[in-house]
Amino acid sequence: MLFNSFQFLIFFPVVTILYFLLPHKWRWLHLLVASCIFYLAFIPVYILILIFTIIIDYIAGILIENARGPRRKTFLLISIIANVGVLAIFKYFNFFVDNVNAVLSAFHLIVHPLPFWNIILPIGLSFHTFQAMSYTIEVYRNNQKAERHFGIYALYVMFYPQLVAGPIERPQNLLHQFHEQHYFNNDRVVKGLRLMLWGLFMKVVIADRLATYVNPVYENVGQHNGTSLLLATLFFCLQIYCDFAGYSYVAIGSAKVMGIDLMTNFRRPYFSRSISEFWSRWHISLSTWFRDYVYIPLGGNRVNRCRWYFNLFIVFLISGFWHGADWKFVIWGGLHGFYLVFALATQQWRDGINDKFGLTKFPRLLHLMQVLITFLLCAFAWIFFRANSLSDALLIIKKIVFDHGPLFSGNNPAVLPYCAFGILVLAFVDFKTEYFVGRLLLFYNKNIYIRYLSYIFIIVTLLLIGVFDSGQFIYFQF
Amino acid sequence: MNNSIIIFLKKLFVLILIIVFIDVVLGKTLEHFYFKMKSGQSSRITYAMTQSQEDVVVFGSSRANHHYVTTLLEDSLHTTAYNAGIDGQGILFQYSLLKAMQSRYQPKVIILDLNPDGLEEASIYYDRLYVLLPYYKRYKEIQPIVNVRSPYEHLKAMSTLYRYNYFILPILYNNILNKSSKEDIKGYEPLYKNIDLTTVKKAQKKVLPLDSIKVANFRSFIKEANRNNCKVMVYISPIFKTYGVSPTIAMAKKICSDEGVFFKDYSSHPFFKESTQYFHDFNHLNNSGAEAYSRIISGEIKILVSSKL
Repeated sequence: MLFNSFQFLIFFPVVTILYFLLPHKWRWLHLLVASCIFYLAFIPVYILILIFTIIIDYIAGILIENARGPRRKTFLLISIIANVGVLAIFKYFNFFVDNVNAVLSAFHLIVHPLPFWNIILPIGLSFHTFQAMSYTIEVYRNNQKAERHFGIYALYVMFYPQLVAGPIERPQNLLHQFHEQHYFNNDRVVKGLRLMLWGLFMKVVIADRLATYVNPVYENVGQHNGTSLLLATLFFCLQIYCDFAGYSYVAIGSAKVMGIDLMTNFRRPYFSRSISEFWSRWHISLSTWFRDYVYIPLGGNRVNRCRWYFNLFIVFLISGFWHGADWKFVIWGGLHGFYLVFALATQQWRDGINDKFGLTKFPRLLHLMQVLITFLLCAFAWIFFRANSLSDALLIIKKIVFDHGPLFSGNNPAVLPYCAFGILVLAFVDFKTEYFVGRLLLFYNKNIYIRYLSYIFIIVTLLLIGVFDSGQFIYFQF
Repeated sequence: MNNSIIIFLKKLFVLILIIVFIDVVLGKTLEHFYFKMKSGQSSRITYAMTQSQEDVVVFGSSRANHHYVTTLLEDSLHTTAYNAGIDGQGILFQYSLLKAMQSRYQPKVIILDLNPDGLEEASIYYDRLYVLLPYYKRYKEIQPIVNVRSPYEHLKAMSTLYRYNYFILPILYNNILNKSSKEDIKGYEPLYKNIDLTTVKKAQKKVLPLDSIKVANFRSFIKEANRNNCKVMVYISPIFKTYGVSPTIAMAKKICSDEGVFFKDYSSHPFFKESTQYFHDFNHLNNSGAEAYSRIISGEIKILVSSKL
């Protein structure tokens, strides 16, 4: 079920009202059933994969807690192999086959190419397997007690607001909240609804509208010039932000209404002054997952400089591969890894240049330049992420540099004005939140008229220019 | 029920009430200006749905719109004609238009130009039925067809703003400027450029399976158009290069034969095939091509319908 669907408009209030009407002891069951219904709305049979990993990790958690010595590690490894195995089979099998075929073919060793598995990737597979893995790892590290209530553990993996696209939660943050009784709290409910409303606006009014420009351009790269491709690339930067952050806001908001706090996933990432800051603001639940479970176990920054750079680079390569079974995602991750390593290696040199040109005397100008450069570096990397193939990505870059001409105005003359309107609203909201903390408040204004006018503006705009039934969120495919 | 729930529900009720009020007032304003538009595609749909009285009506997509020169049909048949072909629309739209039209009057001759892939699976044609949303409440006949867009379309269409969701800029633009950028001769919109052959190489078409809903709607279109002594003709107009196997053409031919309706396929007619001076692009004839094609078929139609007019 999609957050931007009419089904969810019915599903959410029904589930929430029943949640508050039911006694606490039945709420876990209610939420679990609701989460199953939510997931079954996609491809029902894939719930079996979820059930498989839930059973394995539930048992593994208890066994790890009860075991002593090396057996704890064995049980942890079994759990990790089961989760990574599911990912490998359902997400990476065809990628593996494709590459083996390509290598064999290159050496003329192929008689019959290995067959592909005709399968649709289960929705949100990478998200719930990572969340499940964080549970067994935290139990192994003694940071979390094994959950004995099977239903509550299943709910930890399947909790519908964050089941298919995160935030990827940690057991220490989420599990205990299912045991606690949550009463109706007007402030929390209103805060949750505000987040949901803004999230929907980001998705339906901004992201999906930008997609009506980006998709036709990126789907026909050969027929568009560099000017249109450049605009489509810049639009895609904002589209993917609004799509994913919008999803996260709805997820966090719908959980908050029921009294459950999920972790923040986005903090206006395009105001970052460096790539390292970008990753502390973009998909925070994933970047902290990689930090906690890959980067630090590799030694983090408590190693020699070369090994540190290697650790950073490898984490971003894996992160790219997590996003999709395609070399273009690996390159996207690799580019971010390269940006980070380059930034660290040239820190002193860059500081020297700033001093030499007197930029440090103009901190606002320096700030603006850093934000712009970071945005452009991200935009360049997004080309690989969004392009249909590596060859398309290279063609896009070539055209952006060399082939300019009249701008494609979209399949509909209304596309660009609507895009511009959405971007202006987003820029205003994010800019004031970033630089005018506690000022120019809209949803949170003390004046009831301003608050209500803000709600009405957002709802009426949704109805007037929102793109309805546009389909899935981009990150569902991961 | 505790106090905070009551306060919350009261506030929510007030907000919903305000939204409903705005939906009705702003929606009605948009409705007023939508139906006042005198130019643009929406005004052509409004004319075809609510005002047309012509004896000969051409139905179809942009291919119909750019291929049937209405004045040539009128001169040849000595009667009135209107080209109701609308860009990017398929059989679902055309059937809706027919039903709305038939609720007012019965044309004497109906020409349906079917796309060579018009009965195949392509969900975009369902999405594009949004152009009918402004007429949803006025014509109950079209509601079941528009409802195929999504399972909850009938509930969504209760919001007036939703029905005008796609039309804010066209309403503003056409009411303020009140002029169309396109030449419109009784519905026919001529194209003047010649085909750029470099784009043809990239135009490849994948054959998709037939869409059962579209096939059923095509059959219903033929059956209902064929009533009340109306003469119906189904054409596949010329295309620059043929697709090869077309399940649509085979199915359309069979249905027309079952229903006793005239069917002719000009998609690979040697006179037009790969003739650069007659095409504007891969799918569309230019004005010279449209005139040549309209002359050929108007002679044909004249023989077929001479007894009706």
